[in-house]
Amino acid sequence: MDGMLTAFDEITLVLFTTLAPAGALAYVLVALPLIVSGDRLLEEARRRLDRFLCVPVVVAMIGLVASATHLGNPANALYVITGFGRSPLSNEVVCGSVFLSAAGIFWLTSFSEGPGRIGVRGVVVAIISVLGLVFVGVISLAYDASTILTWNTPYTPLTTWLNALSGGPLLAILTMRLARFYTAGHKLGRALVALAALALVASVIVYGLWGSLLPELRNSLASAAELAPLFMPSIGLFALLGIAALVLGFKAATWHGEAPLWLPITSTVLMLVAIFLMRFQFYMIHMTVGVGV
Amino acid sequence: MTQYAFYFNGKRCTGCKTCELACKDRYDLTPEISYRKVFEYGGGDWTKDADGFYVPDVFTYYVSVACNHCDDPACTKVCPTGAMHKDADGGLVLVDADRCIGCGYCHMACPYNAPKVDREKGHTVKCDGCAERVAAGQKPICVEACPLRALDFGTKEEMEQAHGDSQVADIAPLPQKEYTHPNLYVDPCKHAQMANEATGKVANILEVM
Ligand code: SF4
Ligand code: SF4
Repeated sequence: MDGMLTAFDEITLVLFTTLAPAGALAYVLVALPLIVSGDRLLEEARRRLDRFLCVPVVVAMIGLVASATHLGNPANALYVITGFGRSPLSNEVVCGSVFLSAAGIFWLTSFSEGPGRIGVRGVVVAIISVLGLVFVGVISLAYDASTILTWNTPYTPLTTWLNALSGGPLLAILTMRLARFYTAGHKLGRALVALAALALVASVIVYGLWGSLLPELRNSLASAAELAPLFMPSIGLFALLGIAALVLGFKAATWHGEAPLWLPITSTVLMLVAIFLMRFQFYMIHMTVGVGV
Repeated sequence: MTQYAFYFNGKRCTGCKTCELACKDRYDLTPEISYRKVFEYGGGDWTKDADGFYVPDVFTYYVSVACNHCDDPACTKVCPTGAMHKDADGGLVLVDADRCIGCGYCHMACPYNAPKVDREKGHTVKCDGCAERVAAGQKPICVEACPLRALDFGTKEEMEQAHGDSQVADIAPLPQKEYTHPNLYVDPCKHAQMANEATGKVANILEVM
C-alpha cells in the first residue's frame, strides 16, 4: 500500500500548489519597486517592470488552469462561488480568480498609460499584491481538514508559505531580468536570493519535522511512513535542487550587465521542480482518521 | 426533523459481503466503486506464558459500512459547490449531480471513504440510503439482502428502539465518532476494539480501497 496512486490522481493539484503560490508571491516581489519607489524609478524601467508583471501572473494562471483540468465536470464550476466563505476550496478558487483577473486587467492597462497616473498605478498594484498574498493564504489553509490526519497540522500552511517564499523570489529574479530591471549594487537581487535561501533552510527543517512524525501517523490501513517511504530522501533531493537553484539565482541576480537568460530560467525551474517533488510527497501522505488513504 | 440511520450487528455479520454485492447489482457499479464495503479487521499476537507455552490472542471481525449520513459530515464542509448536501427531509447526505464538479474533495475528507468521483460520469457517487426505496416504504437493498439480518435502516428513533443495546459506531477500523457523528448504530461483537485504542489492521485492503 503506498500513496503513489493518490498523488498521481491529484497530479494537477500538485502542479497547482507548486505554481500558484510561487507565482503570486513573485508578483508581489516584482511589484514592490513600483509600490515603494513609484515615480522615483526611471520612466523606461518602470514601464518595463509594469509590463513584465505578466510573467508571474502567467505562471500562477497555468497552475489554476491545470487544477481545473482534473475536474470531472467543469461545466458546473460556477457553483464553486456559492461555497465562498464556507468551503476552503471555494475560497481558494474565488480568491485566485479575483487576484488573477485583477492582475490581468491591470497588465492590459499598462499599455494605455498616459503620464501622471503613476501614483494611481502604485496604489492599484499594491492592492493587487495584497490580493496575491490573500491567495497564498487561502491556498495554505485549503488542505488541513480536521478528518485528514496527515494534513491537519500547522506544517500544511507553513510549507505552502515557505514554498512560495523559496520559489517566488527566484521567479521574481527571472522576471526582473526579462524586464532588464536593475538596482544599484544588485541590492534587490541579493535580497531576493537571501529570502529564498532562508525559506529553503526553513523548509528543510519543517519537512524534516513532518517526516519524523510520519511513522506515528497511522489509521487502520497504513502509516503515513508506509504511504510515502521516500519522504525523507526526497527532502535531501529537495535541498540539493534548491541549493543549485539558489547558486544560479545568485549568479543571475549579481551578473555584471545582462545575465544570460538560461541562468534565471534554470534557477527558477530547478526550484519549482524541488517544490513539486515535496508537493508530490504531500499528496502521497494523504490519509484520513478512518479508513481512507 | 427525521434523521435516518443505519444499524449494524457485529455479532451476526460473517463477512459474506452479500450487502455489498446486492448494492453493486442494484446500482450497476463497476469493480472500482462500492457504496458499501465490508472491512475485515484483525490483529493480535502470540505471547509466552509462565510455563513457556505460546498463547494466541489473535482476533478478526467484520464491519459493513456505507455512507453514514453523518450529523456533522466532513464531506459537506469541504464541498465547494454545495453539491454534497444534507437533505432537509430525512437527513440523508446526497450528491446533487447537477452541481458537482467532480473535484473529489469530499472523497479526500470523508473518514469512512464513502464518496468517490466516478470519472465516467464526471461527478461524485455514493450511498444515498436507497432514498427511492425508502420513499416507497421499503428498506435499502443491502438491509434486505443480508442473510444474517445483520443490517437495519430506519429513523434514528426506530433504530434506538429496535436495537436497544447498540451504540453510535465507535469501533475500529472506523474513526472515532466525534469526527462526524455518524448515523450508524452498532452492536459490537465480542472482540471489537474501540476506535481510540485499536491495535489491529484492515486485512482486506484490496477489497475495500
Ligand atoms: S460517511 Fe462520509 S460521505 Fe457520508 S455523510 Fe459522513 S462524512 Fe459524508
Ligand atoms: S466532488 Fe462534487 S460533491 Fe465532492 S466536494 Fe467536489 S463538488 Fe462537492
